[in-house]
Amino acid sequence: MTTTTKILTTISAAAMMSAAAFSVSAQQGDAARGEQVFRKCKACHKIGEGAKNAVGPNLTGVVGRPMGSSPGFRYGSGLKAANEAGGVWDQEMIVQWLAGPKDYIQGYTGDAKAKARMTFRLKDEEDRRDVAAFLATFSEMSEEAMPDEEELTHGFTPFNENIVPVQTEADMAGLKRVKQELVMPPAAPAHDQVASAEPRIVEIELEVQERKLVIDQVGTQIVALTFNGSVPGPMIVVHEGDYVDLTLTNPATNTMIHNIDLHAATGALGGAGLTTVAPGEQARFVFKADRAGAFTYHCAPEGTMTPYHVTHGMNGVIMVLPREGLKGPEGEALSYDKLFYIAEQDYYVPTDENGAFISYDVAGADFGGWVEQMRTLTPSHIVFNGAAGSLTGDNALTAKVGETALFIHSQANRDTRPHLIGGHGDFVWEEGAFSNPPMKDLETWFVRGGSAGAALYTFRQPGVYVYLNHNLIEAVEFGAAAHVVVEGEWDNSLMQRTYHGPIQK
Amino acid sequence: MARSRNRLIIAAALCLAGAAAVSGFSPPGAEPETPAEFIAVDIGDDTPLLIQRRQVTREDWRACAQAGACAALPADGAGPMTGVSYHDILAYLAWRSAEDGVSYRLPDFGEWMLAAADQAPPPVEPLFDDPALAWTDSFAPAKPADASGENRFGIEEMRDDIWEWTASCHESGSGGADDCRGARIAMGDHKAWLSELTRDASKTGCGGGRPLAHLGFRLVIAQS
Repeated sequence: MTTTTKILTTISAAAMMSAAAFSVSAQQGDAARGEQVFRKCKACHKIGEGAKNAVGPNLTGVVGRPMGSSPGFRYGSGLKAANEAGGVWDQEMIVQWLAGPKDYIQGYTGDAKAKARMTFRLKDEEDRRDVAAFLATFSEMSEEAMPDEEELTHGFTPFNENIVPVQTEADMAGLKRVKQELVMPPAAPAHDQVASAEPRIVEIELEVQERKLVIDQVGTQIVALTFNGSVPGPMIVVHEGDYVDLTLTNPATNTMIHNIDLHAATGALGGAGLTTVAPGEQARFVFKADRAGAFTYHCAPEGTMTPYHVTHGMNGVIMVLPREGLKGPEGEALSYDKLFYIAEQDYYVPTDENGAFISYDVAGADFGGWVEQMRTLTPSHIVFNGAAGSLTGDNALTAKVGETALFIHSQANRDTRPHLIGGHGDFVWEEGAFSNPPMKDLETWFVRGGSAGAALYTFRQPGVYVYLNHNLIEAVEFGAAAHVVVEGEWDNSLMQRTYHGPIQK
Repeated sequence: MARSRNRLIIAAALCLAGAAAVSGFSPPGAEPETPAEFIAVDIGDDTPLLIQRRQVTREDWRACAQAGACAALPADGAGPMTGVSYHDILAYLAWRSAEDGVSYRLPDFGEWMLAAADQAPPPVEPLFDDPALAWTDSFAPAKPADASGENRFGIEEMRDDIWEWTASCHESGSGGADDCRGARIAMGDHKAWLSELTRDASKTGCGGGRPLAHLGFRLVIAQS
């Protein structure tokens, strides 16, 4: 049963005449032009399937509908009275209403004090007729298309309300689904280096945690913005051609809006366009890892908030391996025994009047000073994996002579230049792009801000190696350094001290 | 001095309005007086919306900052106060309400739109019709103000280059907590959704869409 029919069966004879009139007056306006004019009205009104009340009532089916009858809308006294009197909108009435809602309703009700909420007017009569004709085109809709009762809401175009769920099920039919158990950096999740021929769907769950984090030896505390509680966020590992089915959760206990932009993903700002979630919300999307490489991911909420979130730790790495594994410049297979996941983090902690770093307990409390410091482009801290000393001493990385390590080094914001003191980069994908042949035998390599590089090295000597940003000021004064403690037998053929003592003639 | 006189007038007018509301009696021809800085706009409720004719000024802000109640933000010279976050404004509202003995608040989004009336900004035309590309809407260029000067209620500065904070939350998707989750609507040439921490919204880039020139605010008088 159509809405129109229903109304005709339930209202007065006078109203029936009005309702019947609209089919005649429908000739009078140009609905197509009315749709253009109606753009102005969309500032406050919604219309069509699924439309809700906004600043003004839902207008779906308004022609032929009892006046003041959109469920849940708080009408002014004029339309309330008109509703009680059994009034029904027709096109001509709407044409007159639009010229001056308050004047119209006072005339209609005969009450000089009748109120109308609508303050907007359409001065041009042709505009009014065309809009009324456009509105009438929504009066043939089925009852099912009418919305359920809605509360009056302020705001009318939710940020991502109209997002259509990604319909990739068909493409992924028959693919195996696996859930990746994410682990804390500097570890990488369990993964095969050479993949099965068939792509998989890899389910990833990330939860945003706004949490306190001590970032240096003097105890400076910030409220870090993190994926899964760590700085950097956990490494994701998939293979080229796999699908990543990612769920991002922003618990209601958080205070900020977050999202995720993965440099491995194609379209929608790397996913940021589809995943913006307020506290208490969750977003899920699927993307194809359509090219190999080590890629940065990070939060990119809006404007200043983007660098603010990234410099509060909200970044990490997704590594997309070639299905057949890593290859050298001659196409030879390469593999690794260990993976060291290192992300370099710049912080911009404000200082007090004595120049001491201020500590914070509440997310966002550092905003003003942090942004000010950020704009100097001079970090207060440059550290590996969230805090100075996070990869030294008891936390040092470990390996054995003969083992091959893959160093994945990410910097979501600034350029850096990793160097392994006492070692080399045997094979280096400076840009992280595994489909390109790696460079061999590098002393120092360059990782561009906003990317992740990869370096493969086989340890030949035991001892301690320092892996650092070879801007030595940044490494030593700011904290961007890690240690690798390597066990094994010293090889004199590579190095041997032959004298240490007083200067000899 | 002029300021404090105005405040007395406002307070007196409010008492009058309050009395009329309480008694439910409004003598003919004795509409409650609207405070000088404010405009009474009929938005369909029993009592009109009392909204500030112009935005809160730098001078206003300095008074609050000098009293130690507001952040010491750059506020030299004359003209509307800009560079204020939602949280900065909460401090101002509390201070000035106590100072004047009048309860001030920000307009909500609907009130702002209804007060703007013929100056209400049209929604931004989406860049794409495909609903799958709805996420690009925040990148669509806003039309420059097609309305300037005072509107038909005599309200000024609604469509200049200073945007105004509202008290309203932006709905984003479904579910979620009931509070504003750290973001509010600001109004100017389009509807913007800003973190409550934002003081300078001119630095929006990818994922944020259309930059705003300046951020200010105007008051409404809270009526029970």
